[in-house]
Amino acid sequence: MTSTRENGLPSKEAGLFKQIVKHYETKQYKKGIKAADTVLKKFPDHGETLSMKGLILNCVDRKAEAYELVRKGVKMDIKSHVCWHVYGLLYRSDREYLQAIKCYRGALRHDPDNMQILRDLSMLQVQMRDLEGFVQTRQHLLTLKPTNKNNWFTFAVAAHLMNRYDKAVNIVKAHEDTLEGTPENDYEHSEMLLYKNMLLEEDGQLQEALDHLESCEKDIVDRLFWLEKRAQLLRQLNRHADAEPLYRQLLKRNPEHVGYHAGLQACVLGAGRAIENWMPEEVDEATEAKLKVLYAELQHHHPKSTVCRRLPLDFARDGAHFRIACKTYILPPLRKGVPSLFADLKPLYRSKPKAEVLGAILEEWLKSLEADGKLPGESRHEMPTVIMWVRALLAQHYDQVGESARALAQIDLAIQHTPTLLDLYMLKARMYKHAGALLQASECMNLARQMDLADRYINTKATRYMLRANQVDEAQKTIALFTKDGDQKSNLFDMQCMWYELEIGQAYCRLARTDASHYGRALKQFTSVDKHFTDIIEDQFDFHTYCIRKMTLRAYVNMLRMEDTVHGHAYYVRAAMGAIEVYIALVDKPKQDAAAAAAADESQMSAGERKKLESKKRKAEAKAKAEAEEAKAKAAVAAKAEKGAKGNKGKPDKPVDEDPEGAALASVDDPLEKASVFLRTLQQHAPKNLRTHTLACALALRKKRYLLALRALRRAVALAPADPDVHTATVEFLLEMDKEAAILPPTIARVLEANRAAIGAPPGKSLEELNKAFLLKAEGAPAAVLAAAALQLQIAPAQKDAAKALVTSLDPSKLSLALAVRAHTLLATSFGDAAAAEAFGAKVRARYPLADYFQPPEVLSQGIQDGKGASE
Amino acid sequence: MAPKKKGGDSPKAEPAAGAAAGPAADAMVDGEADDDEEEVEQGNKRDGADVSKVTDFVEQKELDSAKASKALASITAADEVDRAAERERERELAAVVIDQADVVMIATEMELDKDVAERTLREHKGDVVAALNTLVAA
Repeated sequence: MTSTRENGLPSKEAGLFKQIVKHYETKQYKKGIKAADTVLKKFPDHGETLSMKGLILNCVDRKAEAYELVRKGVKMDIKSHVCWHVYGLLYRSDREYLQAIKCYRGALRHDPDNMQILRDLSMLQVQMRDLEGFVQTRQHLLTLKPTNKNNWFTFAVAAHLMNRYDKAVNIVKAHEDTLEGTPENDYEHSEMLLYKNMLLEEDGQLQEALDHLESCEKDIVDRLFWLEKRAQLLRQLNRHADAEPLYRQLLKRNPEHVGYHAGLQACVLGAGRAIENWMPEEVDEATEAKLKVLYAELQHHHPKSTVCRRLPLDFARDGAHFRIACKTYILPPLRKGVPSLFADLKPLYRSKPKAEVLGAILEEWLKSLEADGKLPGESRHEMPTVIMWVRALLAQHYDQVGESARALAQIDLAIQHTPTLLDLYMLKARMYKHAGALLQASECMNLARQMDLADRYINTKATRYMLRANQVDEAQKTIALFTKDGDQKSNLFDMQCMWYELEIGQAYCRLARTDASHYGRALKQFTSVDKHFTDIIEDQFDFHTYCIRKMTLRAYVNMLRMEDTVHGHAYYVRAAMGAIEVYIALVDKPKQDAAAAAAADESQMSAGERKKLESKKRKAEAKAKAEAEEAKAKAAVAAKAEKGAKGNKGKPDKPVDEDPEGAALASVDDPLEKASVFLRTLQQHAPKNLRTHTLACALALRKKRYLLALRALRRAVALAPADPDVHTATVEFLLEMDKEAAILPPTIARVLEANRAAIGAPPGKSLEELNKAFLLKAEGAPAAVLAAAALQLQIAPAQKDAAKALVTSLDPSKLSLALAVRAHTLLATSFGDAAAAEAFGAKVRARYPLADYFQPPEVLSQGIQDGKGASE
Repeated sequence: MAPKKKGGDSPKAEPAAGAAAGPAADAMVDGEADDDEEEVEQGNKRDGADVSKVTDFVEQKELDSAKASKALASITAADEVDRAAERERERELAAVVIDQADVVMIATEMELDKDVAERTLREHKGDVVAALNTLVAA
């Protein structure tokens, strides 16, 4: 379309211009630049040539020049769609999609029917999920060129994404009607039909979907999917008798598919819902009886299937039935020696009676084996390994029900039996971990690692356990044993190794409580995880065209939906919450330090001493800052040197990490703003997570955005009104409000009054009453008692002793380790009563004798040294 | 024809699977060769049967444009009703008298765009407390 007259070049230069475009397309960038220079010599202000030259420079990594040229090009020829398009392409290559969309719109103003630009625009719109814009652009493209199949299907997907199922079905139908004779490509035709079926099903038209599926049986290539879908639709339409044989047929293909089992069960029970994991309370007697018969039959038909033996454990409610089912399921892998057996039994511990039966069975077996080497009721002698595996299982059982001492004793016996089996050491390490002995756990896991240095799994485990014990240096050395040689530092980042980044980030967070310089390192790790998720979002871009062309529409739509919710993934949530906490700590820390200094000042320090201390502190701060700068400069120099070295070898350059220690991240001016960015993503993608809202409240209070805090509280209360954290957040919010009451703008005060009831604090009810009511309702639940006690101290400092009595009266044997730690810290810090804390700690020590936290300091330091000795 | 700005050079260069696997820059260029029929058809002729296997591209039959436009027409008619209602609503909202200070207050306190703040305020007939109550309850 760029004819000579349009872009204002005489024919010779116009020819050259066409060549530039061609060179660009064939990636002959040098030739392209040369041709562009020739044109520009004669017409230095020719906009489209300037733009094209810029675009080519962008490809050879001369970004700054590229932007300059392209901007100049647009300025010179502001009415040229070519210039605008190039500008958009430039932004797109830098992933600045919103800017790129603006540029494309600029281009379309001058050439509204340019299909190339419309297509580019539509891809950015779907990437940015501007779905309305996407529909419009695709509709435009379809009317421009209705003969192109891809235009039809992209438009259908666009309607689908807007949940306009009828529209989407119509579009597919319209295309279908034009097809004549046999389809050219079986697979694509089949995919198209299945996509239509997906639309019908999602629209809730199950009967139509079933009819459609049955009518196109012979055209579907994916036979398995066809069977599965038909069985599912029949079941959902309550045609259980028709669905049952299909599920049995599917089970014949794959008897280990839990979904097929759930489907078959629903058919046999005549239930509307297929349940993969039965909860004990969901099963009634009639259900159990029916399923029992079914599984006796299935076990007979599929004697090798593990799932057929495992599922009865879930739905068995009768003790005797459960016992038999246990034996049937556990014995074969026990005799075989399957180390992961317990992992498959663990879900059963949700039911206490089942846990008890399991323990009783294992104890019985062990007794019988100890006595005569036989299992109860069996005549043959078991292999010698069986008793060892029974001990391992029993140890894990004790561990699971919280009896660490018995667990460790049992696992030690197993280790005595076979000291060379590293799985046992791994189990022992886990038991230490559950007992709160993180250092011993790490040591034990490292011992296991040394038994098989070629095993990546155990190496990973050992690293993780070291990080849990805050042994960061050891962990880094250990994980490096399995990273690529030469670039250990960036390798884990490049491999998007998120579990590691999260664990080390959290380890730094713990270390930062005593040494604030670790906050930067923690932030560094959390932002790395954030970057991985940005990349995951980014990665979908190429599929917008690819999937349509390949007609994998079902997979494409599912992929888009997955990307829409990917930030709700547990890894992202952990990273974002970690980052928010660090930012909050960075804000709180100086305040806390100042408060501590003031307290010390009041008590004893003279003015001279205080001055000395302050100047010392300032010096230290200045020194830290200088060190950070120096490190940065050093890193830059090192990076440059590296770059040079690499350049010599002709390897592609890697972007240099200018802040490897995260010092710059930790010294931002507006930590709360940075935290808010993470928070907004969480609010959008993890709204069901309570901590999202309690963190939102904490953040908003620090920003003095009281209405945002109020909104966060309302959301939290809606999720879990009786949660201690929510109660704490509510009371702390109200305390702050009381303090600010005098200076609160009247509008805000009115909104606050109107919403008090919604956060469980109706006007007129004092905070003390509120706290008392909460305590009463909690009926002694330890977490609630702790929260109430801590708040009591804040609400009425005068009644300190009553609040303290709440804590000290807690029964340590009923506390989880984490709560015991919290109670102890509360006594030691908030109440400032070292004696009470020590007395309480002694009681807890009796319950958790191994826990690091409650060890006297000298024992712990001894333990650390031992640990180091062992790891070397 | 437009100058092909983004060198979707030849269909052969397109990744056969996992378009995203390649380096981002390449994928950005290659993955975009898109659905331009004529280009691909030419490609098929140029490079023979191999390319058509790689791209799996099948020549398209002309669609029945009469049926197509009928389907499109019914959709656009439905849209038109929606849009008319929307325009009516917009007119109503635009007539509401509001205080700019309230807009600023909503935008800062709730950390919203001014546009959103203003719209919420208009939806509540300019009553700032009512608007904030709704936002807080969201």
